[in-house]
Amino acid sequence: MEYLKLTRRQFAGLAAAATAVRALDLRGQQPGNSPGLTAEDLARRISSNSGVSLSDKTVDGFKAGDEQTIVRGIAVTAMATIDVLRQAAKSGLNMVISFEPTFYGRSDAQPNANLQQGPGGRSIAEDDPILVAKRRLLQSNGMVVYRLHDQWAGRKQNEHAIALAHAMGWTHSAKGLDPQTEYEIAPTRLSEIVPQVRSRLRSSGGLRTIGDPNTQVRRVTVLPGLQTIAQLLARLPSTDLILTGETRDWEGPEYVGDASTAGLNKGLITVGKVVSADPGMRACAEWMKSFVSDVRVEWIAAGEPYWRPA
Amino acid sequence: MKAREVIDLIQQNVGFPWRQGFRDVFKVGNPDVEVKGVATTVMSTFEQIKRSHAAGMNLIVTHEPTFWSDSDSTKDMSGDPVFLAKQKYCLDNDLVVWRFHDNWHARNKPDMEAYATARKLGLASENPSEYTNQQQVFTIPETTLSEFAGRIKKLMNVKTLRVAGDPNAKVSRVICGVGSGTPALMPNIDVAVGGEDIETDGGFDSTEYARDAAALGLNKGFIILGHLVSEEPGMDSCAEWLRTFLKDIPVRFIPAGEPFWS
Repeated sequence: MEYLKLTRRQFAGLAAAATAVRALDLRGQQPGNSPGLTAEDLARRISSNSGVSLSDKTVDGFKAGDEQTIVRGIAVTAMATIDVLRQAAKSGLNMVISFEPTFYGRSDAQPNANLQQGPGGRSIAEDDPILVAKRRLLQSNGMVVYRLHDQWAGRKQNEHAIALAHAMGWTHSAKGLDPQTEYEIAPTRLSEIVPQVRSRLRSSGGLRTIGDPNTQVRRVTVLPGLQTIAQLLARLPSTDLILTGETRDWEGPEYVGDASTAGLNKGLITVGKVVSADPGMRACAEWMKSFVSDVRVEWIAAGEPYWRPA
Repeated sequence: MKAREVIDLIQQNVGFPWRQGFRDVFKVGNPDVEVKGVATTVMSTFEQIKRSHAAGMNLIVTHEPTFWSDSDSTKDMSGDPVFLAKQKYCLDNDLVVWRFHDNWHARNKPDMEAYATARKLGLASENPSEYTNQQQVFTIPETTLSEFAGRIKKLMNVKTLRVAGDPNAKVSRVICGVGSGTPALMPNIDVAVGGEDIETDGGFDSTEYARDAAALGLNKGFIILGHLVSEEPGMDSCAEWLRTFLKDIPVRFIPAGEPFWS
C-alpha cells in the first residue's frame, strides 16, 4: 500500500481543515473570528499574560501537533487523557492546554534531553501501542497539546489552592503564614469532612485519610499537588487538617498518625495529584478567557483515575 | 544480651559483608539496654512502638524510618511536639529502635521483602529459589482486573488500595514490587502491583498509562497497595529469620495494618 507522504505542516493543515469542515457541518457557523490565531500565537499570549520567566529546565511547551495549527477552540485540563482528548475533539476544541504530562512521564516522550527526567520508571518505546494510539488520536483530529505548568503554577496568586478550597466550599481565609492556603471552617469532625471531599471533588478511589476520625477540624490547609515532608511539617503545627494531592507514603501520613497517637489531633487527606488540580485548571480556563475572546475556551475535568475493588 | 549485641549477631548472620550506610543504625534509645524481646515492624510508628512495648518487646527492628524521612534526621525537630513525645516515650520505657533496611533487602537470594509479598499474593511459589527479583513476570490463569484486585485486597487485608485500568480488563501477566520499587507497566505486562508510585510527572506514569489503556479498550492494570502494607509480609519473614539465631530471646512480628482508614 502506498502512503501519501506529507510534511507535518501539510498534515496539520489538512487535519485542521477537516476539523473546520466538520465544525461547519455540525454548527453551520463560521469557525472562529480570527482565522489567523495559531497555537504558537496563543502560546505567546499565554506567556506574556503569565509573566513567569521560564528556566532551561521548564516542562512547559508543545508536546504534540503542529504549532502552526489554526486554533478553533481551546480545552483546558489538568491532564490530557484519552477521554479528555475525545471530549475536546467532539466539542471542536483542537488545542489542549494540559497541566500535567500527556505521554506518561515528565519527559512527555520527547527525545530532547533538556527536560529533567522524573524519578523512577522506564522510558516509553516509540512503538508502544498506547503511545501510538494516543498520538494517532491527536493527529487524526488535528490537535495540538501544550503543557502549561510552570507559567501557571509560578504566578503569585496560588490559583490551585484557592480553587481547591472554593470547590470544598471553604472561603473564609485564615490569617496565617499563607492566607491563600489556610481557611477557617465551622468545627467539623474529620469523619464528616471525608464524604464532603468525595462529593465536592468527585474523588473516590484515590481518596485516603489518616488521623483520628474524631479530630475536630476548625482550620484547614489546602496544598494541592505533590507535597514533601518538609512542607507538611512546616504547616501542620498551625492547622488541624491538610488537604493535599499526594505525599510520600511513609513520611507525611505517618507523622500525622504519630501526632494523633501523641494526642495532638491532626488529619491528612490525600486525593491524588490530578483530582487536586482539576479545580485549579477550571480557574485557569477562566483566566485564559480574560485574554482570549477570539475562540472558545472550555475547561474539561480530568477526573479520578483510581477505583477500589469490592 | 544487649541491643548492640543482637545487632552484631544480625550482622554476622546476613551472609555477606555488612553494608553500613546511613539507614541501618540505631534511631532512638540506648543500644546497651538489656533486650527482653525483639519486635519487627514495617515502620516504627508511635502506635507500633506502643504495641511493641505492650507485648514486652524493647528492641524494635523497623524497616522504614522512625522520624518521617529516609535520613531520620532530627536536627530541626528540637521544638516539634510529636518528635518530643515519641522520643520521651521510648526513653521513659527503655525502648531502643534500630532500622533494618539496606542489608535486609540485600540479604541473599531472594530479597525477602519482595519475595514474601509476591508469595503471599499467590504469584511466587513456596520455593524461594524460583524467585528472581521484582522484575519477574508471573503468569496467572486469566481473570479480570477487578477479580484480581479483589483477591489481593483480601490477601493483604487492605481496603485503601488503589487501582487504575479497566475493571473488566482480562489480565494474566503480572509483575509485583514492594515499597517504592513499584515496577512500571510495560507492553508485555498486564498488571503491575506495587507499594507506592508518583501519580504523574515522574519517570513513567503507570496510573495514567492504565487509565488511557482503559479508554482504548486495552488490557492494563495498576494496583497500588500502599508502601507500608506492601512490605509487611517481609517483616514477618524477618522475624522468622531472626528466630533462627536468636534462640533465647522472644521475637515477634507486630502487624501494623493499613495506616489510612478511608
